[in-house]
Amino acid sequence: MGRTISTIKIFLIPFLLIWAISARAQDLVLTNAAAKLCQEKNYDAAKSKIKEAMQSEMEVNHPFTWYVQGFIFKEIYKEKESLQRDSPARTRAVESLCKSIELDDKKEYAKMSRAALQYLCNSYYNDALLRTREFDMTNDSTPEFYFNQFKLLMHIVDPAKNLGVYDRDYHKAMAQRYYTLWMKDTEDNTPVNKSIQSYQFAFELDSTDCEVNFNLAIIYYNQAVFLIRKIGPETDIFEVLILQEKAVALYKRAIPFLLRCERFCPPKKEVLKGLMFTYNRLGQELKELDYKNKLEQQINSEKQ
Amino acid sequence: MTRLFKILVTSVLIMWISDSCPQNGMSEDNTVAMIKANFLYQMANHNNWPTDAKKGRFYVGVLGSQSVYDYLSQKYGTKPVGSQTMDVLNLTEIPANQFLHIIYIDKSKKSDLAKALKEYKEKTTLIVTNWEGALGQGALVNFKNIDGSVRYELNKSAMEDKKITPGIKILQWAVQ
Repeated sequence: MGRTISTIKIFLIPFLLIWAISARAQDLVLTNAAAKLCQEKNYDAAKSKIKEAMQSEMEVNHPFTWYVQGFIFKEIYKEKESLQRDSPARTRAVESLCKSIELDDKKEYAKMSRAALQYLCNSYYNDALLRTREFDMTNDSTPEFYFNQFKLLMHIVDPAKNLGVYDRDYHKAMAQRYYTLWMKDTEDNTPVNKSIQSYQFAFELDSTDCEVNFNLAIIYYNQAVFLIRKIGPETDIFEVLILQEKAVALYKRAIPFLLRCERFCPPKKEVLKGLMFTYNRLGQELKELDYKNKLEQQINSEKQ
Repeated sequence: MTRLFKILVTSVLIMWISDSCPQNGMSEDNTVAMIKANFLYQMANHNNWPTDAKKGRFYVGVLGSQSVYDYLSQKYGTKPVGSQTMDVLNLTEIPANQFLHIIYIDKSKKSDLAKALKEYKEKTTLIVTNWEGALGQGALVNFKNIDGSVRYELNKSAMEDKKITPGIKILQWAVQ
């Protein structure tokens, strides 16, 4: 499961603002006043003042003015709207900071703007991961919106940053949620197919990820079991054979992922048990016995 | 300080949420036993027993496989076989003086086949097994593993000798 990004670094940002006011943009009277109000945590007044600055022809095209506006809205987001799903303050903060970077030909404020954007960027990533824990099949694109925002901003904050780890963790989180939804109604295959799709995406990004390999194996294995569970007194013998063929194909798909776990991941009883069960279900008794012995050895070594 | 505390708590909470996902679990259902139980039920329903065996209950005994017994009794135990009610018995040995329409002898109880053959020699009992070569040893139906699937082979003439007529569907899907 993906870790959210720590927001601790934000404590440095107010100091950057103080430094910026004292050192630069001496002529931006309204902007500087807004920044001071922001420092005093008087956000409503700061918001009014920066609005005035934005109406001033002298200040509106200055990157510092946009930076201060972005900073004020970021603080408003932090203080008042951090739990608000679609915080208007966050959107305004992002727009303003991006505009500041755009106007800042001399790169005087770019570092500060990027630091503030980094905070907002992290908040989008955290929101994306939190949404992966609550969506259902009617709103499963919601986390993607936040994740795309994160990627977009990250590209501005640090264009060279490799987002592979975030991509992998996000898709793992999506896959896990789809799996949970499938477990609530195993008759509907849409969630499980999406879970597999998400895990496959994560697998392509990192084929050595133990959790991805193990969970893909579990999904295929459990899909096989749920197919066989459908068999009952009313099932025609021909249908039994068809369902069994499908289940066998799924068991066989689980094996390579379990073997990867065995090969590349720290020893885990669940993996050995998974291989033992899967070979049993496929009637491969020698391999089942082999993994039964390995499992017993693992249990014994843990006891010692 | 309050703000620092608030943010720290939020950060820790978010990290705890994201790390507390349950690990997906593997179902422990024994699907091989499920299939075998279904096949035993299909045998009961699609084969034809002589008239004198169609009175009273339809007895199916399971020897040596708790899981086959569990699935058979739970899923099919209350279902009718023709006009009879199925009664699934969990056996620890070949019972004397207990007529069985079907007895399933698991590989773990292979050595009991001889006793079963003796006990049911004159009776219309369908002996079902699950090991290689069991048909040659006298079983009438034998479960086989074919490329991961449970299938069955049968000895049609031996069944007919016992006055058990194999059903068309049973014959159709039997492996040679």
